[in-house]
Amino acid sequence: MKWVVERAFDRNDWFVLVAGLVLIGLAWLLPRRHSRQDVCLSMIFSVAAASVLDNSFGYRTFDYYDIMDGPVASLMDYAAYVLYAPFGYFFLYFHSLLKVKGAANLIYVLLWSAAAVGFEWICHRFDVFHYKHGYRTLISFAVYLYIQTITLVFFKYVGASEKIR
Amino acid sequence: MVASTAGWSISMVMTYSLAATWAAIGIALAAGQRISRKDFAFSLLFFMIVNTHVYNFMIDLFRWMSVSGRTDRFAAFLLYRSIIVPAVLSASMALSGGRLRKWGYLAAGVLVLAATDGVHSALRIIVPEQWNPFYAAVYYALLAGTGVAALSGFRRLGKERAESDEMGGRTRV
Repeated sequence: MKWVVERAFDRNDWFVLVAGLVLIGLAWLLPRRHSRQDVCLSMIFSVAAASVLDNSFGYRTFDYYDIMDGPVASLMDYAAYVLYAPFGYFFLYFHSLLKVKGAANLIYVLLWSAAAVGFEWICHRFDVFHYKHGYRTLISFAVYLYIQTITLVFFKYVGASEKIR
Repeated sequence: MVASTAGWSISMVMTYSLAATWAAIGIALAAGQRISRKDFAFSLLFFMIVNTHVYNFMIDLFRWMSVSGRTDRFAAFLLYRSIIVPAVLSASMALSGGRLRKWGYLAAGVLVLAATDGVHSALRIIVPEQWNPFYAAVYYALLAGTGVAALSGFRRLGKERAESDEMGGRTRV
């Protein structure tokens, strides 16, 4: 069963499954504000950003961290990417709900970056991430600042920040 | 082949890679104006996710190729895997309007990428074990076909919403 988990099905696997179900459940329960296409785009943008960054900075030559049990890819490594999808949706949802405009975008990105670092810290405590070569959760804060700013630009580009009704 | 590229210094590989990435992004942005922004964004993100993970499978799981440990070559590989391939395939898809009927554009994108794969083998950015430009062409053709199917599903999401709105219904996400 090495293709499912690298070592054993333990607390990091349970954390990913439970957190994934809770976050997707919350996204499902929220009243609808965006078109299905916008929801789809917000989710796959987050998964794409995480896939590219994790498989660049956490891969081979750079290798600053491992996901789940170790460096070998397994099914649960890919399940971990599911966690990013609802985050992208919440980011878009609350941006339109709170009617964030102008300089308030700066505060919005800072708060979401802090929240993302907090969630990453919890993931780290549950052995979802294993940092190497001096990498720390705080370094991710700078990465989140860039990614979430790019996310806002992306939403603006595709026109996803407009409310349907 | 290796001997002919031995003169390529670190900066030359990076210069080539950055220029190729710039060209791919430019072509994608220009071609992307042929379809809606949402369709273009979807196809780009779809190819980014799939190609990034499939290359990892091909390297780590199937061992069809390996990747250079030298930082400049590795960075060139990352740019190719996650930017150039998605950009070129999205551009082909945009030019074809996301339809298999206009397969010429898709075939052109696939051939460009298969040729680039060959160049990368020559530059030792990737080290093919059981991999060659022919396999690359087959893989990119399959990826382009999957992308067309995925884009068709994404377009249907938009139509479903419009139909739901016409009926006055409110569907959950």
